[in-house]
Amino acid sequence: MEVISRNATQLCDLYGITKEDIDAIHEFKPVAINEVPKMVESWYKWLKTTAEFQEYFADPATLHRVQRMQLSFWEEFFDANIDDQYVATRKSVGEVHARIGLSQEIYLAGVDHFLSLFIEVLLIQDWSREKIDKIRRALNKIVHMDMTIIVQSYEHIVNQKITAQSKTLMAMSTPVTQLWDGLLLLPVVGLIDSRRAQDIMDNTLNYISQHHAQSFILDISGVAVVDTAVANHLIKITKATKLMGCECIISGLSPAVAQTIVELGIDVGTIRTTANLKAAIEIAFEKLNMKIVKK
Amino acid sequence: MTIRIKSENDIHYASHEAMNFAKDIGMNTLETTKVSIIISELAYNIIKYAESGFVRFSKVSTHKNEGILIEAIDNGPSIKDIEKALKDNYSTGGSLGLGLPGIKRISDLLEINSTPETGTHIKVTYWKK
Repeated sequence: MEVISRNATQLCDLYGITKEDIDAIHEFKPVAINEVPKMVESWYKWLKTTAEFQEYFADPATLHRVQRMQLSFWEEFFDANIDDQYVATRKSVGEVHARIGLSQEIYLAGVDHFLSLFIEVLLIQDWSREKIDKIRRALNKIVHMDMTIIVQSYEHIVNQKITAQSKTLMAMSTPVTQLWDGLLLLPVVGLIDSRRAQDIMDNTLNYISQHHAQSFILDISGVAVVDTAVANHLIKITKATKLMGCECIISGLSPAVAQTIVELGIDVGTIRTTANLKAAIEIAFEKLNMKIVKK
Repeated sequence: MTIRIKSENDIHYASHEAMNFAKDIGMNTLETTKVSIIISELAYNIIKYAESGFVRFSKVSTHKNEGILIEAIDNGPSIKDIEKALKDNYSTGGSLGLGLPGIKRISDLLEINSTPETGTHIKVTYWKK
């Protein structure tokens, strides 16, 4: 999934953050910043009651480091110098959370905790109603902007993790094995997309030339979807193996897949197919003039 | 449920979700297989011809039938000749040319609206047997 990445100016536009808001934050800064250490303390008091605390903050050194980072986070917040550097710090917070697997829940609860404490502090100030309203609006806007940046970068890392996982799976997914001299087997499990079809094609053809294979069994009993695109890939693979003098047998066609292929109108005329692997192996051995006999 | 289709991964996700959806409304293995094929053919066409678009599926019922309505929506160049596109082995994209005619055979109702101005909107209905 793509993430639309906005720079600092575009983010300010999106949240309607104006010079007026920044000024309001600056006015509030001297009062608020004094309270932050107390807030951090009360936040960790609450955090200690959660399961996450033991997992992430039990080590005193870590705890100390995280608390210090939190202080500088809010300092930066009240400086309200929203430039690309500011956005980058927020982004890295989300990325760190995603990498260590800290849930969004805890982070969002934290934001809410701090925001309500700031509002509390704000409301007891002896300021005009107008000024208080202005500061409150500014606080809301910037807190929400921070939240969006952090949540989005969190999501970005999670997506990267998923992509990496699927790449690993993909790399393991074309295990061509030699069953017997001249006989190769490739069981395919999962999905066949154009990239994987290409992998299968490359791997198979290489193996055929290396091992002088005469028969090749492609077992698709683990493939859930055989649509016309997948069928097209399979047909191409069988054609290419045939050109290399190797017969391809596709095994493991389930009843539902077989019926659907017929209804789609796919012509499987020249491709050898079997319902299960056993039948395919029998055909292949026959071709190799071999027979499995009981001792 | 509406799913954005932009890459091959989205096709798999959409057909996976559609399969679960079909299962939930009580379809059997053959029926869910067909539903997932319809989705993946439509989604594949979106990527091939329009680059991106949406597929949507929902439950439909009449007094005697219950089934699934599958839609594919894109703003691509549109299908120039719908009649030809429904003929077997006709493809402008170098593939088997069985996607749309296949869907027509598998499904119970196929409706295609396609103009260069409005893009393409395909509706497929498949009744539980």
